[in-house]
Amino acid sequence: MKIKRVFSLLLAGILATTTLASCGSKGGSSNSGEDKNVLKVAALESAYGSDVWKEVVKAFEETKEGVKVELTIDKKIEDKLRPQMSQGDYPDFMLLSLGREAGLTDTLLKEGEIAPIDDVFDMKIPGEEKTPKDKMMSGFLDAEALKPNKADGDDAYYFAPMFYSPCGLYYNANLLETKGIEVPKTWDQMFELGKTLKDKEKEGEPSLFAYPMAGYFDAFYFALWSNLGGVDYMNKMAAGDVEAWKSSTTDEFFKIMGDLAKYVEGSVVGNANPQNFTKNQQLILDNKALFMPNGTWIVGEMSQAPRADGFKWGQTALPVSKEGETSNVLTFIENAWIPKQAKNPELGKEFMAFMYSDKAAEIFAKYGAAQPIQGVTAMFPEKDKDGNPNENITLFSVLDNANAVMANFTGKQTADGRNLKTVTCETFNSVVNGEKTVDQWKAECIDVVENLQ
Amino acid sequence: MDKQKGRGRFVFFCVAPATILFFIFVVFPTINVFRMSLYKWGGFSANKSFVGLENFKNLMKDAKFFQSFQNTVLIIALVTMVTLIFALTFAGILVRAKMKFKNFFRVIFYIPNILSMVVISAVFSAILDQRNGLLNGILSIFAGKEVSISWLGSQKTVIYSMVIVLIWQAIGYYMVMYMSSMSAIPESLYESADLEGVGPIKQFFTITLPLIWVNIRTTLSFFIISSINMSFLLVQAMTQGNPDGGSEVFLSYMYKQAYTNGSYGYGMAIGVIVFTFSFGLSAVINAVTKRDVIEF
Repeated sequence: MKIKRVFSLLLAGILATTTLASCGSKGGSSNSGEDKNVLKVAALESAYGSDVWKEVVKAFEETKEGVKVELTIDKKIEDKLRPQMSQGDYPDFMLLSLGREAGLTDTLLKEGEIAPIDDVFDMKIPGEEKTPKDKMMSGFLDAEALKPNKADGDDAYYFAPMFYSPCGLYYNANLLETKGIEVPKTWDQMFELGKTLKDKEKEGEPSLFAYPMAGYFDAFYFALWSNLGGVDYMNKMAAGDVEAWKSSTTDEFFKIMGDLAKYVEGSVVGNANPQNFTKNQQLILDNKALFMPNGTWIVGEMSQAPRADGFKWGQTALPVSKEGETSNVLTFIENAWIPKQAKNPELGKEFMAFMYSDKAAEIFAKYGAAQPIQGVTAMFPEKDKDGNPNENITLFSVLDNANAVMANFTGKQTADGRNLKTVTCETFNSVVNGEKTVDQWKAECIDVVENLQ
Repeated sequence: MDKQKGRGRFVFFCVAPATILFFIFVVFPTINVFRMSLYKWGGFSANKSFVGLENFKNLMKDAKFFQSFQNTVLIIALVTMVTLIFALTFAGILVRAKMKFKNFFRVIFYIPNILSMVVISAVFSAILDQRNGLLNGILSIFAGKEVSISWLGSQKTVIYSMVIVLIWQAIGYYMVMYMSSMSAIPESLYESADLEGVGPIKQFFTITLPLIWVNIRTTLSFFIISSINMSFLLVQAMTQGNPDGGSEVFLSYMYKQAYTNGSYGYGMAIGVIVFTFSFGLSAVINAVTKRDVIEF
């Protein structure tokens, strides 16, 4: 009997202490959050790794004396932040793009929990005399993607553009050189090249075109739409505007895609799924196909893959309709933003401005990430970490002769059973394997657009 | 009287935990699926709006849904028929025939069932590869020229490729189930049949099959449920519905709608259809296969 009583007392004691202890830790964290000199930074650990953020944070602490940065970085940052945010503990600076599977940024945007950041671009960059606006590459601040509430009459910036990556057509520069093929400037030249190659297919000539998965076509379409009908037209198409989708420019778009479908390498559709898409990328490395739409991350993604002798990555903008036109390249950007409920938003904004400093940009460039400021390509080290020539230098130079455009399908273009991105991208697979005609594809797209509301 | 009461209470407390858990984890979520199918909801925010049967009305106009429905029905029908035949044949041979390495074959046939769907999808991606896959390679030998069929790249072949994978994966499991009930049949029945001069094939149809009929009926329900579930796993790991919905099954379509298309209520409406369909089909199958139970 006595033993039992002692035992239950002991258990009660343990219970009490653990409860108190957990209270104590909660109190501790909220205290540090009130400190004006503590900046909480949360960033997604992407292909560029986590060390890059540690270095940038250190550089910021050196510039702003007395400031201490608490860095949270993770590959699944949403899972780390969810419990903290539900307790009201928000970071002061976030790097997490729209369109992730967990949709944290999308949800906070929809709920109006993201703070406007117009003043950041006019703010003096810590440690420098210039403002982010002075240094930004042209076009980037015009992107509607940074002003997600513009359709509702709110012209404020909510996202800062980070880490741009041009998504053009990738090819083996060495193959084109040795074969004496010039990179096609217009679609006519492109298809002529496709025809020549197809006629000699039996002799082992490569196919004209390949793509990893149909989902990669969003960037391709945005660039093509802006080439055909301008940036306004592109924005309307991306937003699912019925008039734009029924215009004659859209007919042109479908015609080009229909022609392109004829020159797609034969095994692409079978491998255009998450399990096998690297096999489609391998077609470029093996000289089995000439061009494919992709992003600068392809270099790292395929760095361990075997390749043809002398293989050298090259990137070109999409061909245009008439010779002499300047092509647009869809430039993928990541979103940096500040939660409305951040405790230290002023410091968060200073950190955001610091992202555009030479110091930060150089650190980012060292890890292969490019900030959209002028002269950033000169910041790439000449050799990569294996001592080979840094391929990023050539890949980013695609924007020397082309304009950067930015767009994305946000969650607004979906309805029950309908999704604009899915119908525009995935149906292309059926056009390539002959299951559907271009006209059927167009009819399906228009059906989706008309029923979005 | 008092004793009776005490016993009632004892039974109540014994059954209560399981019942409560059952309600929390099975009944309540199921009711919730039905309830949510009447709402429009994105899946994150608190904005839910009641729309009645509108989700179902939209569903009836959704060609992609019907495509996934067709695919699922095809998978259920083909996988059940072919697996049933193969599993029964193999089980009959392994139990009745006098042969060496019986246990070895049993293990070999059962192995695919142990492998996870992710591994299976990787293996079959290699087998079905168009350029240097095993299947096209073998076909090339017989055809005498290079065969280049895009198994996963066409709506016409992709669903049959899935069916083949699912059959390969399921045979071992059902074979072991049939073997266990077949070995319970008394040897004397076969001995007397032998004396009467009945051949092994007739023995199979007149003795073995009727006596394991109860077991076969049970497995038919398993076939329906596991075809629905396994096809979802396979699609998630291997094709994700590519090309253009050609390999979409209704659970993968439901998942896409509910979790990536931001139409959770619509996804739940698909869930309701799946639920009703699989229940209904199981009930029908159960009814039409009802026979008097033969005992030995």
